[in-house]
Amino acid sequence: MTGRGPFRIVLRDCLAKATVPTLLAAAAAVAWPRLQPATGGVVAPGASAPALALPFLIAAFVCSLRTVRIWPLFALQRPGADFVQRLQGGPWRGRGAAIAAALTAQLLLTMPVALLLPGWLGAPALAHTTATLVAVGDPRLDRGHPQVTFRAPADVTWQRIALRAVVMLPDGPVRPTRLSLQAGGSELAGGLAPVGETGQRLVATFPPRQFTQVEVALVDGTLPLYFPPGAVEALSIEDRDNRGNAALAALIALLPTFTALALACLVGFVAALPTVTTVAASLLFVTTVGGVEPFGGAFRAVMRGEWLFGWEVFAAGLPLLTLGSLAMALAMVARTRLRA
Amino acid sequence: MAAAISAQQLAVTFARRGRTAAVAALQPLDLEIASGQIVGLLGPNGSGKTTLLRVLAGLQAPTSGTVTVLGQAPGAKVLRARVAYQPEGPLPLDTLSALQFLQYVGAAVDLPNARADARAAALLQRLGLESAGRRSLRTFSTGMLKRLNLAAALLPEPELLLLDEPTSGLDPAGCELVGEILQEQRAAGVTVLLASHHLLEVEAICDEVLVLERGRLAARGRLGDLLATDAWSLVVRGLDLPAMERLGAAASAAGGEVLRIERGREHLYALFRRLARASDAEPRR
Repeated sequence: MTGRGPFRIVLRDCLAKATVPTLLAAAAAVAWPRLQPATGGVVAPGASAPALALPFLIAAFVCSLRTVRIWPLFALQRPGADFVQRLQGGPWRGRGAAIAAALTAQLLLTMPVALLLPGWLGAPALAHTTATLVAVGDPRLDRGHPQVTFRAPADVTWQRIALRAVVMLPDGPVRPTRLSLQAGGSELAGGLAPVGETGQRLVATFPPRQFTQVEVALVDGTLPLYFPPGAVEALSIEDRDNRGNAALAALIALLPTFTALALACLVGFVAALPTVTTVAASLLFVTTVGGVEPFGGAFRAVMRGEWLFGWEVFAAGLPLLTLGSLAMALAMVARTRLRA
Repeated sequence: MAAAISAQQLAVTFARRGRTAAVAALQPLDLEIASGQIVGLLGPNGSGKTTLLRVLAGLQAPTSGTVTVLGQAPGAKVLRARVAYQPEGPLPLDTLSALQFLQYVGAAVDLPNARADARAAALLQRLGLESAGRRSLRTFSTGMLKRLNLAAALLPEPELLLLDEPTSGLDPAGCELVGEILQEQRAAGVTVLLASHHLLEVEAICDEVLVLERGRLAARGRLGDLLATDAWSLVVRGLDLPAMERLGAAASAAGGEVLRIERGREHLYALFRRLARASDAEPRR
């Protein structure tokens, strides 16, 4: 059944229709950063994340919309729907296989892009586990509160900490604030550049060591600092191949496609093709270009060399996964009800 | 003879939607169709022909009543291969070639690949589509799509064929071919229920007709019984006009009514076939 059934039919069509647009998008992605005005002659890899996401976006749109168009049971009153409805078995009458085919086609098209493109765009070859450190207590640092403590995950050997604080107005004259980093009572790194403006990134590199707590202490200066969530990150020592990261990003990019097609599957019981197409395209747009995680964050992480595998990424993808699964379950129930 | 189709008090009502009132597509009807015959389903547009076929194909649940097809409920999985339904509308999956389309149908009814391929090749040839097997359905004419639709219906060698307007859009030669194939199917013991507006075609090939009118069964019976009248008529050929006039006078004297004496003419259908054959025989430049 699989060899000549909906899976193969939709897979072949998606590959035929999406290959050229995806390749063109990949070519545009390669060219795009080279057309950007670079700061100091260098483009930060993270800034190229939208370019990396472009081929994935195109592949997702083409595969999704072709699938809805090809398989006649995704919408009401499609030509030949009776024909397929009668012949096709399975809980979704071929729609499940069609969705699987669209996802497979997208993965086949985007996996090579995921493995090759980040390197061309300047992503690091190695990725590190990155943890956002959470402030214990008040995240403000000033003369009255000269130390802020951050908690780090246990059992990880760290080698770098990056800080990006918000600068507040001082009471007196303005003097940039100088910081020191300590862990377990001993200094991690000193001699950091003084913080004089909001968003200024400080990176402290130190001999690899394990710790579960970091203290950021005020050494000198008058500018009060505020550390919002995500302002302090630690990088582990473990070097991992960034291609694994990119492969996971390609898998993550399937989530919006799955959710859009699952919802189309459900909406198709009561709506005609234009409505179903609009629903699928809108959902894809919101979950990709709209910045809903984990799509955008995954490509940013690949470009920055931040290791993606972990609970946080799974948790970020969970709402889309749940929405898609729920839509498929409801579509199965609706199919049973409507048949009666 | 066992009943291929049996229905008791079968009714279908489409529920009210918004400002559209509820529609009784089929009023309660009893139906029994014996195996191995061709039954014509006649009636004006909106009389319920397609609804009846969709119920029998398992695509439309009846609002009330019971129906069995080959002894099973119409939607039963086992009927997917035993009953073929040829809907009237366009075919799906128009990016496929004719051969791929038939392969999909074969896979959907669990026909082994080798068997499906052999059947597909044979049917494409039988329906005059052998040279178009690898062409995309998008490039097919309406008539070619109709033929392919029939090929898809015949592929699993069904016991019951439900055909909705199988010859609409076909040229006379195509209609004749479909008629031949349906008669072959009847000879092989297949039951055919055929909805059509082509009354001549129904008269030529059907054993029995059902006439639907606003969802009711207005008439049913064998064509010989339904079309027979008490009046006898005389059909004569080979006389010249004076002889015809003498014969007409004799018929009037005997109490008969002479309706018309006219010059013999060829039927348009016969002319079309003759010209088509002459064109086929001509060497192509």
